[in-house]
Amino acid sequence: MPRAPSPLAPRTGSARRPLPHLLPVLVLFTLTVPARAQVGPDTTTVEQDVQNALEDLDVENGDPTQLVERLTYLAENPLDINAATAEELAQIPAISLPLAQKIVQFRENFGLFGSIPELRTIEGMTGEVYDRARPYLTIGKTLEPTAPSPPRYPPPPSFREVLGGLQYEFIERITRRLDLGRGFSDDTSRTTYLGSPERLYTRLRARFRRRFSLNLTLDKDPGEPFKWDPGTNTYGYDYVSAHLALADFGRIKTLVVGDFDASFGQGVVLWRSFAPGKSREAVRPVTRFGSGIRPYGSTEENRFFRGLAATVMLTPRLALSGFASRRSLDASVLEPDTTALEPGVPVGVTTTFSTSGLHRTPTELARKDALTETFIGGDVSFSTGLARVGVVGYHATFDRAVRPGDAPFRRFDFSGKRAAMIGVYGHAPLGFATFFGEAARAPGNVFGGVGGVTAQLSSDAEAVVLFRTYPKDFVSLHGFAFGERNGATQNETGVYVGFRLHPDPRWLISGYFDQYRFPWLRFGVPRPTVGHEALLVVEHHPRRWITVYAQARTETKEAGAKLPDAGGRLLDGVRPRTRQSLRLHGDYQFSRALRFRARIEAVRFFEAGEPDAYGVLVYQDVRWRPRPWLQLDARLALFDTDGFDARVFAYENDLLYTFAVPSFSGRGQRMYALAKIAPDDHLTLQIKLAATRFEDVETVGSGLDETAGNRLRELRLQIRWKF
Amino acid sequence: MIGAGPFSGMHTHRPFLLLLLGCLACFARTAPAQSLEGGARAVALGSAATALHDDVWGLGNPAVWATREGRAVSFFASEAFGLSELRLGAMQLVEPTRFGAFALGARTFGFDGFRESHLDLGYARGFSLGTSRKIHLGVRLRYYQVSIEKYGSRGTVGLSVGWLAAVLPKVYAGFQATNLNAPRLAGREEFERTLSFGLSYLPDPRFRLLADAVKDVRFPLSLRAGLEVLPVQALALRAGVTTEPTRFTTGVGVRLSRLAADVAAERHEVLGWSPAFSLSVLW
Repeated sequence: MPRAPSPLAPRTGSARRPLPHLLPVLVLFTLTVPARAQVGPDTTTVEQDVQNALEDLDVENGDPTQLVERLTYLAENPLDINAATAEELAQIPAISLPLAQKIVQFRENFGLFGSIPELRTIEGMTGEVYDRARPYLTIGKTLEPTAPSPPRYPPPPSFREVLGGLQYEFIERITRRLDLGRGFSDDTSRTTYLGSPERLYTRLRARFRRRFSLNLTLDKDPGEPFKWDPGTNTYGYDYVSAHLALADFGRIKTLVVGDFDASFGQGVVLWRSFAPGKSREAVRPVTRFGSGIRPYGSTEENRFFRGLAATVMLTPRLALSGFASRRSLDASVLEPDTTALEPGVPVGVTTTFSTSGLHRTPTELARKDALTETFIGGDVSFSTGLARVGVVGYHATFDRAVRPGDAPFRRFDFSGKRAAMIGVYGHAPLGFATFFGEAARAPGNVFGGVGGVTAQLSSDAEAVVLFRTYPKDFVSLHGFAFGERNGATQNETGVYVGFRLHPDPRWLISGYFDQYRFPWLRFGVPRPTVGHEALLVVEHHPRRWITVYAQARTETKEAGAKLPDAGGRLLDGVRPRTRQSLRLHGDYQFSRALRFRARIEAVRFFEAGEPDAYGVLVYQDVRWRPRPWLQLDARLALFDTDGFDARVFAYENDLLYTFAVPSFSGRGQRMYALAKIAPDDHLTLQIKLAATRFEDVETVGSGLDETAGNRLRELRLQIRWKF
Repeated sequence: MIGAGPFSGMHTHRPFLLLLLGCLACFARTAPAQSLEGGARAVALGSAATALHDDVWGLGNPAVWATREGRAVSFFASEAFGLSELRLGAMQLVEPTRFGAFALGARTFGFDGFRESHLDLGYARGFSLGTSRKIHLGVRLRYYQVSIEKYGSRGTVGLSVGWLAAVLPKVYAGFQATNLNAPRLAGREEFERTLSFGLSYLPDPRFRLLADAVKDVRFPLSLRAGLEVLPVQALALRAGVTTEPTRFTTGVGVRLSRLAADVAAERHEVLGWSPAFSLSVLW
């Protein structure tokens, strides 16, 4: 049963912090502390963390579903503060790497924690951080002063133990637009979608704590046909993902057969999962480091590998990872009969990768699995618990040559059949600062990388500085390092400075400044360009049940434009564009059962020679839990923008394991209602009805999604059964 | 969607009718927070009434009725920009009971050529939900009737909701959403659909500062502020300002035992002055 946060519960901590040097004494008197009662995960915190990370991100460069799933998983399988490594603890959105290192150091110096609130004695673990981190933490060991030292490697559980402790989970999700676009019409004279408008998602999973996982994920997007057609790799559902995974079995840290995700270092060489980019968190998302090999069961159809992967502990500090994958990718392939359309491109080659994962029309279906990638790689890393250094590399082979075409902006895109990459990464604390970085060599002997320093200056201040340089010809096929174009680890240099200040427990000031340069052209931008972005957030908690913040943001970036030369001829040029936004946001938790949330956001967009464009978003959210088994969420939002450039975004609550950050342009109203019914610990039902109504339009959308009328409604249903 | 009935003659004079409706709807639509709506006190405070917790009229937020301890009857009259065609008369009754507060309101606006009348039915109640504080929730059903000379009349019903709470000892927050069901008379002629947020700050019982943000789905975001000062118990001095459109308001209230009289004057940048007056009996 999900548990709402208890804003009215007494604050633990500051008033009764035991002094650090007294802790060992306290520990001696505390013979056994029962493990935390198994209560349901705190999905409210997950939603808040996902919202913080995603709501200002224009979701173009990857699917954040993985982030949602990872945080949900973390809340459902909280980390043991007496066993987790610093890197594991730093996966919690509220905990920075320096703070995670302090937690581990504290544990090493003073012994195991007796209770979770003891974390409050650590410098930097403020009430706000503690409250946000708490849902992801547990304490799993009893404290017995006479206990023998723990084994060097976690002993593998017995077959009987695994079988007896398996938890099964079944999820079925059906979503459907109620107002359908032209693609779903019976028009035989034009292209339409091959399948039905429903999205069908099925997931079956068996897990034994964090140590064993068997998973099957099946997904059919709207418009995709539900049929058995091995010719197009369609087995009922369009997308099938499966894995079998073990973790912490003696020396085997991780073993995955099937679909896996591999992320190492800063993500310059290898990072398949999604990572949040710039957000109002300011410091934490920038200081990332890979979590190694993880089983994959998400619905994003591109960002994973398929094969065999393992991490083995050669010694307790030295880890060796190896992975091999062979999977097919979507791509456009030029066949002989189409060469006439684009002279200069050899026949039978792949021109562009297609990453939408949609296979709704014959054209899209033809791109499905058109290219096969064989991928092998490995990683060796040495960790002291606080510091880590590692080497990661891979070699990828495609079954046909990739030719990106002649367009100038594609000049440095990946080309050919093979790519190999190797990188060195590491992080280490030095005084109050932690240094981190990764440098890599890309095909063609091109070097690039990222490096920075983050500091926990005191309980009241943390900061980060990060430099990045990914040259224009730095081809990183599987990288996803920090940058303005979150995840596109090529053609960018920049410097980022971020900070978070707590001048008072009730005030938080955070912000960042990022300046960047794209040394080569980009799509629609015919020159190398520069840009910068700044954000400032002032957050105030006058009481535990009220949070208000004001956020100001400005970004200026050069974009392609037709500019006249001295003779009046129009030439391809670039011109700066600025987008500014000001947001006021308030959260008011009236009681455990009722929460309100309101926002007003104004956007201004301007470009020399063009009229300014403005946008406004206002919304009111209500969350009501009339009964422990019933939770209702509703929103009413009004938006009013002068077109696409001044569009507004609004993160929405959605079904478990999913998220929604719709963007709105034009003028209209958005409403949704979401009900979550959990009659017992095993069953959760969710239903969401959303409707957007635009003013003064005859149709909504374009192309095959063009829908007659001025409204779009969607119905979403999900059932989750755990047993 | 102009069907049979009194509006069926619209086809022939559509341009004229649309123009007339457009002009009048502009006044009518921005009315809910302007002088054309009731309560001279709210008018004088720049219509920043979403968190005006002890208001009788509840036009900025139906939840305020739940904060009344005694019965209230109030009458209101105004004349927008000195035009007799834009005269408005209204009355409001609030009856607190053990089961929450009930409210009844009526108003009429316009002249013989165009008349818009409202009949309001409201209910508001406070809930504690296991805490020692109260959240006030309110709902208002409004029957709109528009009569146009020679064309007949047509009516529809709109649903509005609101909440109000003292989020801090000296700060009230309120919210209202009007016409959630998007009522319409004919074709696309809709009534206002607004979302408003309000804050009210009372550092002292004799001083009150109000701030509102009101967004109508078809009009720009309007920001409003109001200030009320009571130099003596019986006298209230008020002033307010709004954007979209820019207006300045001012007013005076006198309270003698159960009787309260309020006058307000509002200045629109272009259209000029609008006076308003209300008389209330407060039990």
